[in-house]
Amino acid sequence: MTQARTILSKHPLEEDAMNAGRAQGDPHIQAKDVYFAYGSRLILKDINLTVPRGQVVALIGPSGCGKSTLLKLIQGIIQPSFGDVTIDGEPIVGPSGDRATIFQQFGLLPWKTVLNNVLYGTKYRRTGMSSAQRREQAMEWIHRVGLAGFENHFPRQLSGGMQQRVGIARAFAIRPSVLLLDEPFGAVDAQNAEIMRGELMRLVTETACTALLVTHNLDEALDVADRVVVMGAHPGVIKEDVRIDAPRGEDGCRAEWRHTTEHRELREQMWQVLRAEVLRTQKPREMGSES
Amino acid sequence: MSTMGTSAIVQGKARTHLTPEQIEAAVKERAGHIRARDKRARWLYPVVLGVVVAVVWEAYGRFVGFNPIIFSSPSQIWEGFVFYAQHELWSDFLISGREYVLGISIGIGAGIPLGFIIGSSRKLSYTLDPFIDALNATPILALTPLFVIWFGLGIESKVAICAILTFFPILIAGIHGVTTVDPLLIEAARSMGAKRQRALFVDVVAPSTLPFIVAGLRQAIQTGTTAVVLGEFIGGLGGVGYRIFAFSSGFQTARYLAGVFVLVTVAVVLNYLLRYAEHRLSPWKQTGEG
Repeated sequence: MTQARTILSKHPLEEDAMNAGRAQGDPHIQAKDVYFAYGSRLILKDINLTVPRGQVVALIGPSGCGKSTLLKLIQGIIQPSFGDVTIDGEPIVGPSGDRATIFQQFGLLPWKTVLNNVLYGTKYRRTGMSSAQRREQAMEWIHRVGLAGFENHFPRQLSGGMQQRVGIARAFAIRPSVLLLDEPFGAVDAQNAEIMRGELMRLVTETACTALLVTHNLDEALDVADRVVVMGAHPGVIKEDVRIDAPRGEDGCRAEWRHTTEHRELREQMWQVLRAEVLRTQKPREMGSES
Repeated sequence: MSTMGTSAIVQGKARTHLTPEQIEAAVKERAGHIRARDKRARWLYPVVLGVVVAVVWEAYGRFVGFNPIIFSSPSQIWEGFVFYAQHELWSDFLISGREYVLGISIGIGAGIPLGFIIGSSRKLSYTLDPFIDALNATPILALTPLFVIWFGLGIESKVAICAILTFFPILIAGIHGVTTVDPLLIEAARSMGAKRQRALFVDVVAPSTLPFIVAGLRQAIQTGTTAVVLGEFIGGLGGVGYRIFAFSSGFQTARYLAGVFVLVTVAVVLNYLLRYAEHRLSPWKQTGEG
């Protein structure tokens, strides 16, 4: 029942585009030969990535591998120094309400109530909805993330986990087709993170969003992603691209698969890649501090 | 249940007779007492200090006595106040008040928009920052005599000095506020498709600058009173500062001190009003209970 097929390959692009198991699997997000430099520092080097519609991709790698930068390129906040990032074949020219981000530090406006925080993103997008409709929809999302009754609270009055629920509601309320998750549970306590991870994945599945999840947590990546991209740092490159076909349970996670030998072996294999990359990128600093 | 009883329970002496519910109620009651006492202490202690100081001060004046030219007792100051109130207080108050309100309005009215404009433009802030810093560091009060020469003895000179002195703290607060907006909030708004400056300004920049503006206002309110009073010292035809200066020149120390107390009262009231406004303008600052 819990069967996984993995592909360990340096150039999985074409394969992935073709093999994508989903019915809605035409290429949605594409990065072609993407380079990004900040000042004289090369952050991303030769990134090629094709994400089919509806796929959940985890980006994992040591600090400084540019995984958050890649997310911002897809968001459109920054532009690549070389190469193209496209959505449905169209180059990304700037941010758009079609792509929503959930931030590690929530990014809620402290002076807006929960309702207004969920609402304000929706007004930037020309959807032709009346303000009453937008409000209704915002309320619906507040209910769906479990914050009913907290509409008029300010973020400061909520716990970290609840604040991130607002962040999730805000992201979904603008009805994106792409969801960019920048370590969404990095600032949430471990128990809440575990619970909310399942809830978030269920929403992603229900809304059929294409999702990119930046994470430091290999178990999180293996738990929820259809595909795990391991990145190396200085400059940021794609090291491994691994498909995970083990089915996810009703809660959006692979609770059962977690206990299989297959999971253990795959995790070990990926951990070796990740570990080597983390140690490699830390070396110069260690040597510097020792001398 | 008496306080004594509850403290005995909390210390465990009477535990055997009590159900857990009773203990819980007693503990809560005791915590409530401590809270109430703390709340009372907040206003009671300063009132006690004020009364003690006033009594000692008055007693010293009665039994030892001050040289009336050097200092006065509270009761003499009160008499001075009554005298002042029966004569020029109201007209002085109107003159100073008009100077203050006009001056501070000009200072704020120019400072806030210019702060936003300069803070939002890298070119402008690079160009102007050194000059703004230099002017702000200058004791502009030293220019008061010049302002009196330029604008005369009427209220115009005081309005001008008050305006320029309140302008800088507000301007600097505005620039500082705009340039220190949390980049994450900007990114969040932009990532949801906030296209241009206007949406970002209304939703993100203006509200996050508000605390800085309020801090600037606090400073401006203080500096503004100083400016008006000092301006009237140097050259004026009326006003509370003018009167204080006149009383002190005539060695009418009790009346002079009464004038100072009027200023103290005004400052306290303004500060209270500002705090109230701050409270109303930024409800998200309160953590809220229950």
